[in-house]
Amino acid sequence: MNKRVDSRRINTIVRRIFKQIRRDQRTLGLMIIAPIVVTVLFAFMFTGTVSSVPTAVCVQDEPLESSVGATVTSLLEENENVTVSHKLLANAFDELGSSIQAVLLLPPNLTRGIVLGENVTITTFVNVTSELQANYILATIANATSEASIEMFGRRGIQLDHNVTFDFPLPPIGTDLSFNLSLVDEDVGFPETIGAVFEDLLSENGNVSIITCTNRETVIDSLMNEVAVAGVYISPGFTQATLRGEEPSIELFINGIESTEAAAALATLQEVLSEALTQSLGRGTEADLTYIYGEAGMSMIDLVGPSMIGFLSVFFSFLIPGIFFLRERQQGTLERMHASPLTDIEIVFGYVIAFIGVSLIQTALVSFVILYFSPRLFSSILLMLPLVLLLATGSVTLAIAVSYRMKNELQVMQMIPLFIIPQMFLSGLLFPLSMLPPYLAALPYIFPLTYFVMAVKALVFFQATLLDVSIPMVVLSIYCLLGIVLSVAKRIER
Amino acid sequence: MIRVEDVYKEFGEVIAVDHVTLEVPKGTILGMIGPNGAGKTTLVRMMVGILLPTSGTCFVEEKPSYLLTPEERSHMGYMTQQKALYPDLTARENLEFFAQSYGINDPRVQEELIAHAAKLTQIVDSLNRPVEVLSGGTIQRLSLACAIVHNPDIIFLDEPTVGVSPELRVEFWDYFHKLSREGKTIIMTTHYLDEASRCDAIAMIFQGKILAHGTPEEIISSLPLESTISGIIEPDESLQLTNVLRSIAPTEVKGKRFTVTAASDDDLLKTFETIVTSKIAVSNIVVRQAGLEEAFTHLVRRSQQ
Repeated sequence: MNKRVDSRRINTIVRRIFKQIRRDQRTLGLMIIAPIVVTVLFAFMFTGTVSSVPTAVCVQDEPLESSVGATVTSLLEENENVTVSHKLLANAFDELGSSIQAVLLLPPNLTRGIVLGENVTITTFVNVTSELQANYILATIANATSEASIEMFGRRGIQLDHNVTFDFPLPPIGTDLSFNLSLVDEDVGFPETIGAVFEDLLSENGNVSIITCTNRETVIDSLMNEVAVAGVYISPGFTQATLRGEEPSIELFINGIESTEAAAALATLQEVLSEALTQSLGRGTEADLTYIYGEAGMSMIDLVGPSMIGFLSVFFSFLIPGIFFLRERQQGTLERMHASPLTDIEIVFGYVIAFIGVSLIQTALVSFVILYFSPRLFSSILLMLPLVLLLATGSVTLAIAVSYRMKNELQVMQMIPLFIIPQMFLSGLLFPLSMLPPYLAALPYIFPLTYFVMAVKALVFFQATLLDVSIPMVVLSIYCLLGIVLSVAKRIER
Repeated sequence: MIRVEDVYKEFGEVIAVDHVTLEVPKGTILGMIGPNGAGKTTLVRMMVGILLPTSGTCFVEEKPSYLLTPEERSHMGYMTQQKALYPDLTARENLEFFAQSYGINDPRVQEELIAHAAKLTQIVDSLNRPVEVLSGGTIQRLSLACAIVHNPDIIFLDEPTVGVSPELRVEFWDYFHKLSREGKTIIMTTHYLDEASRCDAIAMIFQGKILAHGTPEEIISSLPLESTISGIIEPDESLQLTNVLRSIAPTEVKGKRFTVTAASDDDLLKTFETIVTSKIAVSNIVVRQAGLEEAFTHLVRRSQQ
């Protein structure tokens, strides 16, 4: 078989196809209207709910280091006028009135009560011989408790309940005010962290599926690698800072490109955080929002638009030439062409050139519609041209290869559910590949559109250059070659 | 010259062409006759080089047909059995496309060739109309025009005269003979036996096999075919006639009509002479000599035995 390519003969085919398209005015009209209608519909579509958005989570939050009880204890111990003996409630009153002048009971809910903003009562029993000393003891303890509360939470929240007994007639002895204190510290502190509550609540929430990360960097990485669509990082001091009334640090990361999923994830994260805070503290807080890429306020069309150009290109570049070529075979003109000096490669090239022309016109129409809805994509769309060309070429040649093997239009039409629709859902166009169940995870990589979407996202949202997306471009080129080989291989029937 | 050498083609279980060997010298017209499904089209497609034989080879000018270069192909024309035209284009646009496919790029030459082909096939008036509105006969003529527009040396015509009026068919044949005189080779398939008799050579094909190959006369004379002489006689002379012809050929008389069946041309001649010399009054004598139809029927019957 001779493979010499004559450009004049290719040109003959191209001109003839254009003449045919021009002559069939209804088809021509539909070829112009269909992409516009589809694009406009796309622009208004996909507002449904999303669940199980992959979310990278790293919680490093730590519980409060000390309890109020411990702080009160240490403050009292630091006071040289106080001699503290630690007792259990059972024997705390044993020596009251003899070697012990006062008993201080710190209840189990001391810290928690202060955290939750409740007034907690601590009880002091004093048994001394003078009112002066009684007052001194009560003041010392009151100071210690309020100092502890202020030190830990920046506010007072402790009420002191006292119970004083004077043992008369012992006269006041000198000015020594020092006393022995029997201290019962039952305070369990605040062992939970808000971070842990947040994590628990998040894992119970069906809107997100959690990917546990070990540090802040891995959270960011998993977004970069498109493993996750959203991420959250809670630093070690979160609970502490929240309780102290300081600016607590929680970071939410969003992949703005996967807007629908990101929005769902963001709403969920904020909701769960506020729930966690309410559950822990009885009040909510604000979180910092960091966009890893994409930006606030990007609409669906901003995000899906560029990938959509590829999808529509696959759709129209496959279907129209496929049916056109099938007709060529059915009406016998292909047989006549084969008997003529036209070589198979010339016939395929003729088709590719003609239908790439058609595809470019349709892509331009689609792009105008997308730019109307999303003017910010203007600069990126030209950069996509080489990718669109590769995708269209591959689709045209594959369509020819398929048409050779199909008997009628109905069979060619079956390629829509088999080859085109799956690409819409499995190429990363509508939702990220990471959301696919594991048994489908490899499937997208057989579709050319997957590589197109991959490259286009990098070009449009990461400011990548064509050089950066060379791998998807190579794959798309292989796809073109495969189409050419498959369509040429069928010429001589065996 | 076209040579088919022991070509065999099967499609799955079906044997379409069964070890066929043929030669078509330059400047001759070969007619391939046979019923539908005999394997004619398959054989033509292998000769054109768009179908690969299972075994054997078709040679065009000593080169396997499927290895022909575009330049070599440009000297061949092929009219498929299907109309094989672009219905949405005009007749002229179809002719232009096929002329260009065959390398006729000079617009002036192209215009001349199209005019010539259109005149010959009588489609001049339809040139600027889309094919989809043309009548069946016109489409058939346009299809022929597309096959010959580039003035090829070897022309393959698959059922070229189906749906063509008898007058036009005569004109087609005049043209085919003219082309053959110019040294062009024509290979055509047909199932009209009268048409086959106009060919320089015919190949009778049945179930993928060539039953006979040669000039129509050669084929007919090589077979023991029966001819008949019939006529009208007076009833009282019928016995006399039967007696006279007894030794030559069997005679049947029904009422006034008699029919003598001769097994060979010699017997036919002898019968005729005997009747004339016997002075029996006969009228309305009709001689029916065996033709291709009888030959084909005979061959098919023989191949099935």
